[in-house]
Amino acid sequence: MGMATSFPAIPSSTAEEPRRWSLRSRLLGLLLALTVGLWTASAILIYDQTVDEGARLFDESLSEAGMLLLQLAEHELGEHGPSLGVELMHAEVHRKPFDIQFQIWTAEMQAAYRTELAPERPFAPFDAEGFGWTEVDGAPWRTYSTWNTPRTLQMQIAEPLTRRKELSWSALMHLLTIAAVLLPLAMFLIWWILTRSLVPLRRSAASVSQRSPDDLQPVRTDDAPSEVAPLLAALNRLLNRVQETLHRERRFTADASHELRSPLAAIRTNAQVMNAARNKTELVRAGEDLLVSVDRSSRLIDQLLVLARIDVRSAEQHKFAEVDLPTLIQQECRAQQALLDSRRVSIETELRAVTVRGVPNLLGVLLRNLLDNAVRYSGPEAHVTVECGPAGQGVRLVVSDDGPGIPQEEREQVFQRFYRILGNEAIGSGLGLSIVQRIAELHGATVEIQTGRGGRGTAFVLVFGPAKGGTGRGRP
Amino acid sequence: MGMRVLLVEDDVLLGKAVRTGLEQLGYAVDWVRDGVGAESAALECDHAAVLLDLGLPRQDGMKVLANLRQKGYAMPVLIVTARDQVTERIEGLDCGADDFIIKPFDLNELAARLRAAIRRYQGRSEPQLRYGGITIDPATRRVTHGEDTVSLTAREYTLLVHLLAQRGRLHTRYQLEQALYQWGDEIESNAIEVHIHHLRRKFGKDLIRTVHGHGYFVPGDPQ
Repeated sequence: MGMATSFPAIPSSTAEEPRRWSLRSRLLGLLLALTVGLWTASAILIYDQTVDEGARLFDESLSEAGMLLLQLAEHELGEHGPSLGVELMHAEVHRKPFDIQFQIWTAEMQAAYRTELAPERPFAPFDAEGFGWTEVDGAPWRTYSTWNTPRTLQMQIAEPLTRRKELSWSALMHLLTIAAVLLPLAMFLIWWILTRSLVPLRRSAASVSQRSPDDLQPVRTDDAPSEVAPLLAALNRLLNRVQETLHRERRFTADASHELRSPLAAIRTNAQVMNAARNKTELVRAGEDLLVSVDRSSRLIDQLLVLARIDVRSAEQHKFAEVDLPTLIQQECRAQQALLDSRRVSIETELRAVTVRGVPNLLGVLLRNLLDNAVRYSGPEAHVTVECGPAGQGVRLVVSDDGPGIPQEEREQVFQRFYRILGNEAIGSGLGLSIVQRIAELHGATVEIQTGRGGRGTAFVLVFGPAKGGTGRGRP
Repeated sequence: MGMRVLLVEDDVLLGKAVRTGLEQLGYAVDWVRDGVGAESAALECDHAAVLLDLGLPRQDGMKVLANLRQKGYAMPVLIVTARDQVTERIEGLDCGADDFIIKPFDLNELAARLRAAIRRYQGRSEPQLRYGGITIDPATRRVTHGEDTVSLTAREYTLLVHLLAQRGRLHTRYQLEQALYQWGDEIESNAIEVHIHHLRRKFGKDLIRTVHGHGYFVPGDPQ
């Protein structure tokens, strides 16, 4: 009955697909077993009932025949004396041989009459009344004994069990005939209904397994039953997430290639300009620009590598520790001293003793990028302030400057990778603030751009949440 | 074959280098760094061609191109970009670009493609420009008159090419200055007269005609 057919296997990465249990085969097996079981139970009950009922009816007819024959015999005996026979024989003619036999006894235990094939001894003990069993020639017989009203004659009537057996046999055959017709029909219907009902499931499985690996379009759910729809919906959500990630990655790759190509183009063009230089000044300028372009490329590559390193590991894989923020800030400020001096930027710190749970290297990178950003974009002779201290339950870290500031409408965008503010002569990688944001995210901290002190410049405000273990809420 | 081109490039280092490189090849280069500025610069000034970057602040290069073409801007536009997707190239060309150059590029190739685009715009398939006995090869900047090679300064060369490419057309002194000098160049008040004088000395008096009070022209047919 097609029990072995299974759904089209969904291709998996493993070479050998483990044997899967089939929903349809299981349902089919269980339903068929249940049907056959129920039918068998009801057949047994019906058979029992039929046999019981048959026995009752047979007993009834046996006792009725006995009483009728007894009355007849009483009457005959009254008229003809002991020469009993003709009428009874006549009454007996309608019966088949070996069918019903009887004996009529007088109160003195004399046989008044007995049918031809009835044994000479009484069927039942002489004073018994009602039904009983006996054995004639090794076969079981059903007996019935009764007295006439004055207790002068006793009737003992008996019939062989085979008659009753015949009836139960025919009842059994009847039941089996019904089963032979109806059970296959029921099985076919169950198989058909199951197969039909599982078509949407099979179709969904096929539509998922037949799609090409890069097809991330959602699976159709309009004809899916309510049991499968949540699965498909979950699958679609997953596909959607995968597509978003893929889209983001592709855009990033496109952006990164664009960003890497521009400095390369500048390097190449400057080299050619140097080759064709018409005078010393042109040569020297192109040479300087060439160096700047090379520096820019290497800085961009550094930043890309930092981002890649952060992204490759999930939050759990980074080594979190208690980081003493003031110490870290002082370290990073000292490390940036040369850059600060070259731009005549002064730096002030207002540090209160706080610790955050974080990855020391990454927090260093974050600070370096914020300082670098402040120095690059706030112009020469700017003032940069770094503050840290408790804020409510958490910790606050602020890097502010008194430069030109970032317009309100661009404050969200500057965190995007490769976003640069128009008209800015400073040459950055366009990744610094993305790195800051990514590291903050990894630490479960928020970053916000506010206007700097005294309504001028820019302030990057980071708030680290209350210490609750180092896992943060890093993106997958 | 005017030699003033518009360079649209937001990257400072690359823009500076391309400008110098093209200047070395004798072009006058106007450089703008954003999409909005590019559109107005192209429409206001008479450039022989536009070199257009796509990833621009304020307005994307593709949008600049679409706007220019919609406003009937007919001069050659060459897209110079780091975006190398085929779909973008197709979109760029369909948007009305004459060529599509991927960064990083060879400066000489850029110049060659620029010359080719300008030549196609002027309806010539032959790379050399010929007039009377004069032959100009833009690729080598070699100018011959009859059998002799004529030596020209960069300005003289540009002026000659400009006049011959648009023969029969009258050019005012202001128009010639526009074609020869880029923004920020100091122009002597009699600079054009001096260059014309030199050209006449090298190619004969009849090549360039003067219309007093109006300007100069080269006759449509050489005599």
